[in-house]
Amino acid sequence: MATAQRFSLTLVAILAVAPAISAATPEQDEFFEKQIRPILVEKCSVCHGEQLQTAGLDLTTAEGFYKGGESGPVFAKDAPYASRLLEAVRYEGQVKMPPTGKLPDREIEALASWIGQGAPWPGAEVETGVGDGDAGPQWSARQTSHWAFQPIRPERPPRVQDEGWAQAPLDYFILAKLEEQGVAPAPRADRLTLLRRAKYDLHGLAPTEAEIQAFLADQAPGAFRRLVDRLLESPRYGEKWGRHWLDVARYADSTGLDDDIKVPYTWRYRDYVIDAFNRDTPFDQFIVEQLAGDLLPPEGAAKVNQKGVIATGFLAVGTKPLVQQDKIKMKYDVIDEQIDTMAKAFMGLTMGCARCHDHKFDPISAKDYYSMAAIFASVKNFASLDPAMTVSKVHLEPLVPHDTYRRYKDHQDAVGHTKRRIESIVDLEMYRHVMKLRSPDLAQYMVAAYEVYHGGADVEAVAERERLDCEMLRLWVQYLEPGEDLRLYLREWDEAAETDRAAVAAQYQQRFRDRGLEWIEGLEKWRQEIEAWDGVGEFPEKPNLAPGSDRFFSEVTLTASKMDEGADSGDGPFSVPERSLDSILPSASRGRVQELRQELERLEESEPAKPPMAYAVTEVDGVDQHVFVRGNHNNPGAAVRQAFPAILAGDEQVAIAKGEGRLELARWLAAPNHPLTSRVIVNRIWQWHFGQGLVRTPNNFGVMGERPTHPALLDHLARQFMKGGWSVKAMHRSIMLSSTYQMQSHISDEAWTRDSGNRMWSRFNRRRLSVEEMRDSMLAIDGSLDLAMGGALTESLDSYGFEAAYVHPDDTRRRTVYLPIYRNKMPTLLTLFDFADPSASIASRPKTSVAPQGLYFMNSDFVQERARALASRLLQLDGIDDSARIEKAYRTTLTRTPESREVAEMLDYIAEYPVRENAADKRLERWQSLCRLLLGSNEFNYVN
Amino acid sequence: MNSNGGLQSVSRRQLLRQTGLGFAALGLDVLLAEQAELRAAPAVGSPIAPKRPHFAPKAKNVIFLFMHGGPSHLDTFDPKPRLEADAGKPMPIKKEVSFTPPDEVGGLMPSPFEFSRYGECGTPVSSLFPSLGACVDDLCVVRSMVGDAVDHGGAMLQLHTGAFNFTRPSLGSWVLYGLGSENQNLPGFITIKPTLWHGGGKNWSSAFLPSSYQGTPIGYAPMNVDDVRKEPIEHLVNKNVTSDQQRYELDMLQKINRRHAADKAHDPELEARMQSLELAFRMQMEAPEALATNDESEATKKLYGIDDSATSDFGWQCLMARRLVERGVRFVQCTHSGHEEKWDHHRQVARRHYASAKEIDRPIAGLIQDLKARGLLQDTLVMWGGEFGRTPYAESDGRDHNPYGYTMWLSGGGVKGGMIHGATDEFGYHAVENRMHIHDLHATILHLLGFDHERLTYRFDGRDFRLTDVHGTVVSDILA
Repeated sequence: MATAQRFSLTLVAILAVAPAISAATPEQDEFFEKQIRPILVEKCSVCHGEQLQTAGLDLTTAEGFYKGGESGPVFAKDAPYASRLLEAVRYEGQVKMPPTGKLPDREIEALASWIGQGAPWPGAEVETGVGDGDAGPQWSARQTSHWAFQPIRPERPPRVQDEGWAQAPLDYFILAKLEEQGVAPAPRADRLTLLRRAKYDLHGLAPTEAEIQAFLADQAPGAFRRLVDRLLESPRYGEKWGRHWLDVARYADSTGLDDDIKVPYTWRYRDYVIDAFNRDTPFDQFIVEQLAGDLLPPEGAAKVNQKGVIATGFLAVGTKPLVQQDKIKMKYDVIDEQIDTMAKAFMGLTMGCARCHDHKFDPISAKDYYSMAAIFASVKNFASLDPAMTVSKVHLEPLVPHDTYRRYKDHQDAVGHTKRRIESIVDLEMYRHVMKLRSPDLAQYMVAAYEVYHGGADVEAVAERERLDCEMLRLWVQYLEPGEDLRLYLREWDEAAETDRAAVAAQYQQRFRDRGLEWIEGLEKWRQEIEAWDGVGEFPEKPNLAPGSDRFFSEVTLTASKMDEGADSGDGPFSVPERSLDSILPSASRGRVQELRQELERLEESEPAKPPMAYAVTEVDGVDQHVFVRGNHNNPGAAVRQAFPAILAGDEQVAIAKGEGRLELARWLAAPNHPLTSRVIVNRIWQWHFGQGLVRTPNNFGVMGERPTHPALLDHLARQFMKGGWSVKAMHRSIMLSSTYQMQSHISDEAWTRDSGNRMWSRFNRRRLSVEEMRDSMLAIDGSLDLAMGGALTESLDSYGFEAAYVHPDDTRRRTVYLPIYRNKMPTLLTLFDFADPSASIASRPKTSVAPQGLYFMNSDFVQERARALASRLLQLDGIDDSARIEKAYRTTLTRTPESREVAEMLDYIAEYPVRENAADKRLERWQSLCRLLLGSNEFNYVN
Repeated sequence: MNSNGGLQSVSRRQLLRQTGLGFAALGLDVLLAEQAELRAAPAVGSPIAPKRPHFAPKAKNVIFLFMHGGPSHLDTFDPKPRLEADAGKPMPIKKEVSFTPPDEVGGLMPSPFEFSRYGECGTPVSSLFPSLGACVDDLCVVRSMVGDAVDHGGAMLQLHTGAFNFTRPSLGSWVLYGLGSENQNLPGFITIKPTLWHGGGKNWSSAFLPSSYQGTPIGYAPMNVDDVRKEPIEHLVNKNVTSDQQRYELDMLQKINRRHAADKAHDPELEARMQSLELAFRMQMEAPEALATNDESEATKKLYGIDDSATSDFGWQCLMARRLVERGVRFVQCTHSGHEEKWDHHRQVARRHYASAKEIDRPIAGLIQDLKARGLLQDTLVMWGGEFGRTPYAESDGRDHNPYGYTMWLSGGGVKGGMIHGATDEFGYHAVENRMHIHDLHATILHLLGFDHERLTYRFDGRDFRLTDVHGTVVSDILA
């Protein structure tokens, strides 16, 4: 902000005192690039630019601008304010520009300021841009000395008075502050609270009865450590912690934005993440794999590094505006999305802000941004950037060697070509048939049909009299009879005078025949092209016989299924049904079609197995990247090379070869001397244990983010993390085995007064169950949770397209992490209970309490079903009484034994429950209500 | 510093501290008895409690009649004689980005529909809208709308959220965030039968705003009204137990919740969740009444066209919009869509527009007349339009998308009636006079609701966001 303000003050000063200076200052250059050039490019260049110089005027080069147009200069140096350009944009003279509408006032003012200064055009060349040739923007000391950009310091635990309280090194940092502030840490939580906390924390599930008993039975020292170890070994751990990362990685199964195309194989990335957490993949390796795994060599004898390729799903799974018609913009929108996610996820930086201008708060310039864009510009995200593709396709990467994949594709192509060959013959013969046998009678059918639908004549009688096919006549009656529909192409017929009917019908027939011959000609040509095709170039394209070019002809000729918009009028009266097509083929054509069908059968039999694929990226040729002034790719400024942000990596950086840089970027991020990476991830781990980070803006460590509550602790943990080989599980142990983690969540009056926001970590933060924990636990409690891991939830997830195979959460009993996520069609359950919006990197989920959540507990099928299942389970337990059943219910849902008055209260509750007279199973109804109560209670829905 | 736009709202935390007594401490019976009062004096700390805007508003509520697919301005509200004169000739203006395959680009296509002048103002309307024509003295027809996206998804997202390439909160969410809602027992932002295509849920999502501000859908576009009415809002209907049973259970639930909270002081979240259960119970009581039609007269149903199969669907939507606004719901959207878009006629524009117009003409005219008769139109802003208009040149026998110049209209809520604002060029391709970008429309809507669009902000990831991003100018010409 400081820089921006200083800049604009300078600019105002210049404008005020020096209205006609000719030598452009750097400020003027910048003013031109940010304010003036975009206007000239966006508003003027279509008519007065490189392609077209209307009135001989080119407003995109200095030369053209100063020269003016056919009717003279547009700018007068001696009387700048009287310049014709200004007159035109102010709509004051005869010429009003641009003709599509007056520019906004601020743009006119900007042009006037610029012209008032003598219209300084930066340099002689056009291609100068932001930050070119100078040291870039000047950052303030506040920006450059910002804590997060400083090296991570070795921090020793401070001294504390109560040595006995501290169990782990991190406790010293916490306690020292508490002692300094005179706030007492909360007492240690009881064992069952710790069990429930740890189990939800690491698995996202309620402790089972067996776990409760085992933990209570383990009275030896170190029981909690053994519990944590056990929990970390279970694959349930990766399902919980992988999901944390998937929030940051904005994971979803569709492209989102405009058309929300469903993408197959996304789940491989999700499974990779879960697996990486379960294996405790060192986090530095996890970074490199996700950004550049495809560039790492395969392991052992493998030909393809499948895991590495899949890991780059991190880059691929973001939103993609596939229907954007400006394909270059589409490409750079995705690059932007990737830079933004990468920078937030690994560095806690909001780099996306520097796309249109230097970052307003952080010392990141537009040049830094585009130096990063230069790296991402060689990433293949789309199957093609062909502007002819209205809806672009995403790139899918084969997990087999490219030649194997090529063979599969060739085979697919051969199948497609054979189908087209058959079509070319059948279509042609169909039109020939209609022309030859049907079209001569068209007028007669029309007139006869009129007699039936208008005159009320009997269809059979008319058919017989006119010697017409009765069924065909019926179709004509159906087709021609006027209804609610507006059919302008039949208006002539509908409005014809009785005496003109025959003549009008004859005209329809003539036009019909003309059109038919024209189309046959087109199809004959296509067939010849196919016969002559060399098998190498593009397969000849079918001529466009759009029904819209002759609606009447098409509706009469085609079956409903072949119409462009389905069946408005049913099958055309002259159409040949699919099943009869063979019978109209002349014998030569029939033979050829049979041959081709046999070939097709052979091809289909010999089809190679579909190769496994991943939604991942690969590297293509690099580009010469420029800064895009104001983020507009049509307005390139200075050339840039691949580089990392100067504030972090310095001005001198190793040159990266063209088309490369991702692997270098990943390794730079994962290097131990990077000031942000390790701090950002340990902060996230802390946040995911405690509900909040030491830095409470986990995706923003920049100037506008919050400072750490305990800076020394953050650095201590970051160093410890790296020293421990970037092991996330080791960090869990460090944190969970601390006294800080094991405090109660009760908020004492003192703590509330002194530390209401718990910035001193004087207690544990009570938290609501996440939606996954809520759903998975309910399923687990009644024994119906399906613990199968990984893979696509439905077969159709392996295909690509518009129609997302929606999976309602109630349709599966798999863990919630395995539900497909369609960005524009999120299950109500997820959006209702604060799931992370999968369209952007989410550091912390919102917390809401709204009425529809209450409705879910009261009325949803899921809660009903879970309560019924749990009730049945309790009732099936033999040899125990109702008190014991209640006890059981409390233990499995709330992880505690109820007090005796609670048992008594619940016995009364079920006894007095107002059962329905006609209830099939009154006992079940009572117990179901009790189970619904427990599942709906705050106690179940919160972790202490 | 209050980072979120300086809105006058007391935080839940503060309120709970001040009253010292959680909402759930009250018995449910008391709650029910006080239901009427609570509607006026909203529940403690509800995130959608009414809030004061920046200045005195002209409009209190918004009804947005969204025409999915993009109706042709050239065949509805923007007559172009030049298209008659030059019918079939090639387009003389350079074509912008479009979807038309090169071999399907046709010449200039005159409208097959006749235009007539209506009302005292004489605003021309095509023969597609005879009933709506009679309402023109209440309409402000904006003929110079401009958007940036040429595809449905992008254009719909921009119309609904201001941004076509990012995920941003919807207009309705911003309005609810800014103003809250007058009725705490109904959602404050309701979208009736929205389409799941082209941005789908993004069009009513609260994005980074708290999810309390997201739109609540009532059914979806392809559903028929009878099915929607069975359970208008997901989980609204108690299908499993009697209401006695539910009451009995809820009383006990809150009893154990209170006991649970008793030794957990200073945790407003626990209170808030208890309260959400009470609110749910009341919503379950009130919403079915709001969404029923049995207390409406036959004359009213007829006015909305509910008596005719062609108009009954949209007629029901419009009637619901009135009933909801009447009950204090802040923002209601009706969507004219179905299994596919109702207005995206790349083919057979004449036939299809004719059929689609028939479905909405009577219902919308009915809505405007009814709102007016009930004195609701003056503070309800009604808005009609699609995600873009259509091209003057033919694509096959239809028209392609045209975001470069098209028509929307506004009515009531502080907007001048009987006027036409802006103009397209003589072919109807580009807006050339008083261009009104979607950002300007948004700025103007917020202005009518009492907001300076530059100050209605929300801080997310270190940045203050607003509906209009860095754009938007209030169009004062159309303000009454």
